[in-house]
Amino acid sequence: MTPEQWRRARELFEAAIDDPPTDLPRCLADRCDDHVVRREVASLMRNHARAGEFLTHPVGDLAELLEETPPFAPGQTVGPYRIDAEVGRGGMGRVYRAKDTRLNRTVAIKALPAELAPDPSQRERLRREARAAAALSHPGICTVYALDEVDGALYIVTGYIEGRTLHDEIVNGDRPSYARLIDTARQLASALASAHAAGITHRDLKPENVMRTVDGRIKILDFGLARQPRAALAAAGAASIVTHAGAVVGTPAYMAPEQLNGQPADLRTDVFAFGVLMYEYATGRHPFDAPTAIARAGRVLTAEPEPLARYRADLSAALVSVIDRCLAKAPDERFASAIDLLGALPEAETVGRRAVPLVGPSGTTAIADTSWWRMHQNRDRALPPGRHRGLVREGRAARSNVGRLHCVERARHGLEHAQRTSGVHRGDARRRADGAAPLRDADHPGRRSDHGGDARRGRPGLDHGCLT
Amino acid sequence: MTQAVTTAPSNPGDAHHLAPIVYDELRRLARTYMRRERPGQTLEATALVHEAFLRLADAGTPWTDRRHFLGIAARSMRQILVERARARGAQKRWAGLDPVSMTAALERASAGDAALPAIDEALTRLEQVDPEQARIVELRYFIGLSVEESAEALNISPATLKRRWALARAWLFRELSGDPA
Repeated sequence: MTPEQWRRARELFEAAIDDPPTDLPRCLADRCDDHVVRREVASLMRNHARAGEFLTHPVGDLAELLEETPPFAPGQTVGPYRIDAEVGRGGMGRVYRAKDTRLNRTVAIKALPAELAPDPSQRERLRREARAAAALSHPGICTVYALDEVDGALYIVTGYIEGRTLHDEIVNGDRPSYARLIDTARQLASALASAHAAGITHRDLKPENVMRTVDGRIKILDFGLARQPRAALAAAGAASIVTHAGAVVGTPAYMAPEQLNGQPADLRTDVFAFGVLMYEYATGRHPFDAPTAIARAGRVLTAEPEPLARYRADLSAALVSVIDRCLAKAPDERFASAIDLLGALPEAETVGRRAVPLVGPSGTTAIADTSWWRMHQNRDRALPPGRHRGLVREGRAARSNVGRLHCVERARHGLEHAQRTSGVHRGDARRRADGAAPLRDADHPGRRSDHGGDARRGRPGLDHGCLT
Repeated sequence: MTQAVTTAPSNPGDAHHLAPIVYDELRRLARTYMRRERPGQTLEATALVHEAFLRLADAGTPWTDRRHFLGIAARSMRQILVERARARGAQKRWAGLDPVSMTAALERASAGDAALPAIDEALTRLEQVDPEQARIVELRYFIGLSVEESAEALNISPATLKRRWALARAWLFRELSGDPA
């Protein structure tokens, strides 16, 4: 039927229900010579009479329609795991603390509520989360142990992290010291950089998803919305990207302007969320704070945040400018990825008027980092003088994220090596060797040797352009 | 300092980019309601949408238009409920019915959530024929607005809305009961 025929049919239908004719076919024949239209009107009138109470009561009780049944109950045994307690609830699943009875260790289990468990798209999302997190091996990203299925219940088993989320700290009114702030920023940027180097966008970075462990290590949780590059998806056998067009993902308070405008998220969207998160962590205030979600979205789109210095006069200009750049409205104005962001973040020990000790309130973190590095000493090689600066330049120019991170890492390893052999304090060594251009990534490894290895073997890296 | 590059929405009157927030707010409210839920109490979509509007629409926000809000809220509610029904295996339950029981369930409006995905698909087809028809069904069925409220939301007269609502019901009923056109 053409639009014109539909318009005509609608007109005739409306006239007929207003004033029902005794003989519909005759009445139609008198008023319309198009048999397609006449047949449509007759059919619709017949169904109008048959429809009974169809759609006359609004959709039922939402409490019933939206009800969720927890997948597991405390005390229940699921495969080799004994469920202890529900410890969290996300947009798409419930998280339990459980005991792996074979290895006698505590794990976290994430599963879908019973109502969502049979849904193929929800299952695919959970699988994708497991794959995204499992593709990353970084101390700042929660380790995935398994993706299992028992009696139709699909669940992810990960390391159990004891600690508090940044959200807890913010709500609690804890204002971090400058040293702690830098440390948190660097750890978070480093973990995010490892995801970005693998082409993975987190897309839901927010204080609730960032945890500080009891020994001071920052961990990113919940890769439930993470997106892998297309090639990786195809390799994993995923039929399609689960989130269909127009579907809503993310958490409005941490969405970037482009997400609010309905444009696709990319690495720079995570950079924006990083900026919002750090601003909020530093000041206890959301940079675009407003009484309602909608007003906040309006401010994300149009307003500039209050200058950070107004709340935190103690921050270095370098840190303030990094956070400001993350918060730029236009993605092009931000860092291209967390790798660049990490490179630009000031170092705890060299920034500000006073020297901030690396081992401070969060000293455990720095120690943990160092020990982690020592595990990778096989990659340590002394670098010829000046070579590390060359590597940083190379890194900046590298075509792929993996390549860039690799260069930065190599330079860092060289410095670490020099520091250990000469016994000079690392900062001193660097300043001496480097002049005014410090190598900024030294504290936190962006990526472990597997990816460095890829770059060394010359496997193609991931260009920014294909990451969206 | 941050470059003041403002990417304001291309058309200030167009609030579609705010759909994610409405959707999120509705889901959040629904969850809050359910935690407070007492036995025998039902949660009506209309109440939820009104509360969401009160919460979201305050002075100085991009919302200037209640009509626009209602349209987006109705669409979001449709998306939430249909997603959930799909997740509960509604399609399978619906497909398991024979045509006679199907038609009977539609007539008596007794299908529960089993018919929701089928209704949603038919509605998508109707939308291609006549987008306004789908809007009417979203407002009337998915958020339970009255004839007068729906008419106001669509800026048409209540009498016109009533006739077009009848048309939408007839069209969808035919589609779902398998009556040959």
